Amino acid sequence: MGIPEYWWPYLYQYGVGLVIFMIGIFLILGYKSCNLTRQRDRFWFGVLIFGFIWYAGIHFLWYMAALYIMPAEAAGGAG
Amino acid sequence: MTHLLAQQTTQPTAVGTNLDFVVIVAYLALILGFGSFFGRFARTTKDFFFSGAKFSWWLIGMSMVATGVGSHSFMKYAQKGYEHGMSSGMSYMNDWFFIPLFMFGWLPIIYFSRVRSIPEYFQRRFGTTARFLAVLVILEYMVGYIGFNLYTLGTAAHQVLGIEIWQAIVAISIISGIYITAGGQTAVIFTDLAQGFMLLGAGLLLFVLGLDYLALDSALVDGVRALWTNLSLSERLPFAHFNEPQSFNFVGVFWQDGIAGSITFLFISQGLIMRFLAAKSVNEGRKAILFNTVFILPLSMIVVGNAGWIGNAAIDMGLIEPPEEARDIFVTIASAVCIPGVFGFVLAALSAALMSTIDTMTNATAALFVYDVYQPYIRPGASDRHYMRSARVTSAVTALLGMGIGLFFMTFGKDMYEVHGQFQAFVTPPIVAAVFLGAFWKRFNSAGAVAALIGGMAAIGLSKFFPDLVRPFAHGVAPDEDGQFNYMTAFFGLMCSAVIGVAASLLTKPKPDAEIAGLWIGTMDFAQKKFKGANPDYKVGQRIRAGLSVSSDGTTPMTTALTATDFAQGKAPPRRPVGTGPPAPEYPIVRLDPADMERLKAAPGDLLYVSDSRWWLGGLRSSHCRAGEPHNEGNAVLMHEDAYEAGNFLSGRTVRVEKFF
Repeated sequence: MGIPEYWWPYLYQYGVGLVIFMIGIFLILGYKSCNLTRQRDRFWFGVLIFGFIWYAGIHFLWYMAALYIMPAEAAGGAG
Repeated sequence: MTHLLAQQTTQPTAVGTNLDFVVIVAYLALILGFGSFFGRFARTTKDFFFSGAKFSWWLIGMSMVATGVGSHSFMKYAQKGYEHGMSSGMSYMNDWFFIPLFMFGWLPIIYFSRVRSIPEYFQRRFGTTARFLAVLVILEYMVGYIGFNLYTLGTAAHQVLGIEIWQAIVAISIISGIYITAGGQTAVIFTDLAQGFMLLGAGLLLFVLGLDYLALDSALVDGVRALWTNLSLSERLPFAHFNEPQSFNFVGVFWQDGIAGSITFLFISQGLIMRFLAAKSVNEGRKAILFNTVFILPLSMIVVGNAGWIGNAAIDMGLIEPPEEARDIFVTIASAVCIPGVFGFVLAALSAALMSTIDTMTNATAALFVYDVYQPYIRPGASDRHYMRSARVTSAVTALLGMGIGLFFMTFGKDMYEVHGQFQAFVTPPIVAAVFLGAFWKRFNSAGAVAALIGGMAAIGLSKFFPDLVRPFAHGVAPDEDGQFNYMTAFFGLMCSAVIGVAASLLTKPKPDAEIAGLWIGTMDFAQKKFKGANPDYKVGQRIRAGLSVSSDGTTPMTTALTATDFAQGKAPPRRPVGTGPPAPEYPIVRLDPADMERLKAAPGDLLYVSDSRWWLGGLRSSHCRAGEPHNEGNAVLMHEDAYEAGNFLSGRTVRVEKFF
């Protein structure tokens, strides 16, 4: 059984988005623009990770609400 | 909850009442007065364009709301919400992926290198040819964008209030032109702060009134239930269908807005860059973008799209008739759920959205002209006073030019707007690719930048004649009736520009390291050192509060890259360079008590930020300073009279001091 079509955008956004995000993380750490030996940079690094999870989490919960808060409606099919 | 504020009718009035006119006119007068008040804070070009680089994160972050939401946003996203449901705002929630590169790459690069415009970055990173191309492209983009926004607001005002399009264009141009010319960036930031609250408040009010409308005579929560129930599953999901229909699908929006749009907004928007350069530090800039992206953008998604969601549900419930055109849904809902006066308030929010976009673009256009055309080519080496006058004149001329283009769009209608839009599709991806590669790849050079700009535009032009070139990027999205893959053209253009630029760079000699130090991500330590004029000190101290005393004992009005010790030894500051180069760091020397210096973890020569202790001023009365030799006069900051006046400090007020690095 494949992944339902309505999940494709979520997986695509956070799949491709994760690749772009990680390239950014590797660049800023690799070039020491974000230097984790500095207290302030460690804080901001945590913020960056939090932001990714924040958006992925909001969208995931939104999907859950759309799909399951009214299960009878969900049977109508995704577009 | 009863419909205290809603008209008890199922048919929209669609035209504002006299009371609505009064509300709008009162609002415009208020903004004009408020914005013009800040003229007193603009004494130098640095004040006029960058507000003296001293504002707090919340001021920058909140004012960005209004800049990012244009008047067309309400119309556009309400229409998408009506047609497609809650996925209308998906482009508001896909910006995080580039934030690491912005926070730790582009933001420190532009801040520490004191770049004042994108073309100036091109000059220093790539050379004169690249700068010339960038000036042409960006100036056209910004002036055209001002005209486009004026035209869309005029159209909305005509539709809703029945006034002529030209009247709205002229009125808004004059009002925003006056306060921008008077107050520059400070006026822009403070009016945008007010307008940000205004448009968020109006959008949320409309949402609550809409839910109340759907609730009929029940509690508000029933309105939420009615909205949710009357949207289909696909309309409740946060994303549209993956690649259908051609006119609105997830993958197209992701690449056009989430990728190309995000890079454009974060990396080449002159208005946004100037907003960040008005922040008191890189750290404040990071806080501003965090606040904006994590909190404000999701809120904005609701604000601009909710009229469409409400309309969708209201029509399903039989409360209103469908509008003749989907684009009319915002006005249909606003007029259906608001009583006169409140309707005017919502329309004033539309004006707020427009003015806050236009004022930013006008100030940015003036900066670009002064720094990239007037100063280097027309009148190099003049005094700052002269450039300040030219900045004001340019602002006024830009406002008039925008008005002229708005009227031009009105005369030639949709065709001119489409020509402008297509021109943007040509030029934006190449310039985005050049900035991005320049900031994050050391090997990228002048030849690469010029090749990316010219080759990228040529590739996009070819794709208009041979649309199948774009098909491999289309992810199964069908072409439109003209055979074009509109959403994917930006992605195609980005890829082509990047490949051409990379190839050209690899085939030519790299630029010497010394010439690009501080201008790409691998040289941030150097950039900070150059900015400070000494090695950065990362020890984090406490903020202190102290009284402010005017004194000339060991303090200075300004100095240039000299430590306090240098000054004490009688070394004269070097002459400030004029002409095309960036301004040298200029900081007044202030003196503090040894105990305060210890608490700050500061030493003579360190950079400090001194501000009025009232946080809600956001840095309006503040100054960057350099610590001098400590004094023994107790808990006080000694500051030279000239610096005191330049920082707009008030006597009798305590100040807050923090170490800048």
